Amino acid sequence: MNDDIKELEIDELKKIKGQQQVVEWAVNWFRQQSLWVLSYGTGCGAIEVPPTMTARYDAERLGIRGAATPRQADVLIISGYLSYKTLKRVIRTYEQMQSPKYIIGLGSCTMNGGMYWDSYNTAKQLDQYLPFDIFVAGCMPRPEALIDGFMELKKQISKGESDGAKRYEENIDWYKANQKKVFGDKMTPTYTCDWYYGDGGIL
Amino acid sequence: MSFIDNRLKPLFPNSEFTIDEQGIIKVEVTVDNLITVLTRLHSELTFESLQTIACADWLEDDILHINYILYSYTHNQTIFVAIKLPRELKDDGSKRTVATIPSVETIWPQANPFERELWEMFGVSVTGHSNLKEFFLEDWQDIPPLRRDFDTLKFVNDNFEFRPGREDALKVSVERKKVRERKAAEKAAKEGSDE
Repeated sequence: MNDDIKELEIDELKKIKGQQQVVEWAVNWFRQQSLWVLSYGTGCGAIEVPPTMTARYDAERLGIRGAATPRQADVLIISGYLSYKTLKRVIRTYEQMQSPKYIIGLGSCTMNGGMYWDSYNTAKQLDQYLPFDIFVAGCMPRPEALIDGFMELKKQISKGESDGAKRYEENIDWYKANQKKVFGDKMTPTYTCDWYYGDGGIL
Repeated sequence: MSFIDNRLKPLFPNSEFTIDEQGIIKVEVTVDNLITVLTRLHSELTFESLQTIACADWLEDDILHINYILYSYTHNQTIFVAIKLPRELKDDGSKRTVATIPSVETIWPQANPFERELWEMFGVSVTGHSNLKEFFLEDWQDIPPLRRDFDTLKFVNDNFEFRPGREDALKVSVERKKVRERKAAEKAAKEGSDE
């Protein structure tokens, strides 16, 4: 008697899980079809973004378009080196973006400092401060490489593997500790990130 | 040459002007005379534009060599007005030079950011500046970073962590050579099969 009930429950659960997966799959498919990129350039890589977006390489045919403000954007391109002054602004910008949100690191500087490895004022390992989904190597990468990075990001999204925002939420203490190490007392305001800590936060 | 003889010499009979092969006139003045010379160049000889203020740190001679680069649209003429400033710093921990330069902001408003940068990057003390605060850096505690006795490599090694190298530790040059050889072999095989 008990065994019958148990089996029934498991069947129901399986069914519901299946439906959720279908919905998730559909949502991911729609998401990867339209990526809105924040028009914000940090370093020299910003010069590669206009040809990618406009007539020459025409990223709009792939569903990639520019967005004016962080609250309307899905993708943040960190295009090159970041000084600590800029890093502060980028962190605030990223925290203002609405989920789902992804970060593409363009150029070698975002990985290990690149040609600015011995500079006194540029951040070396950016993935200590922000969660990256895709790195595009090169100095500078051509627009083809950037589009290739976008295609890879699309593949990740459709598989549900792009978990940058989730990582940032789960490891928020680690990220904030790293940020505090370089900013000291002059941290960014907390009102863009304090909802990560609250139990009512919706991601 | 005629510009020096006709225009500059009557105004500044005691200064030595030189002209290089590109037609740029150079003159060196003392810090005390700086404001007088620049004001007269601006008002009497119509050097309307202050292009930039350049600074070079001569560690061996113990001076900072500061060039005021002026341009006149009327005469189509560039002039470098140079001053030499002792580079020693104050004892009180402010990390700025003992010698000061006067601000030329009243003559050219665009001098504001140039002098702010000199103050921040070379530690030049500026008097009479309206907005002397950090420009590019934030919370800088060390000596100004463009002075030549600032050891960049030591600073970087002390303050930053670098990403560790790849685990396989392959030599890039050897691997690249292997890939090239493989591609050349593939190409040769393909050409052979086509024929």
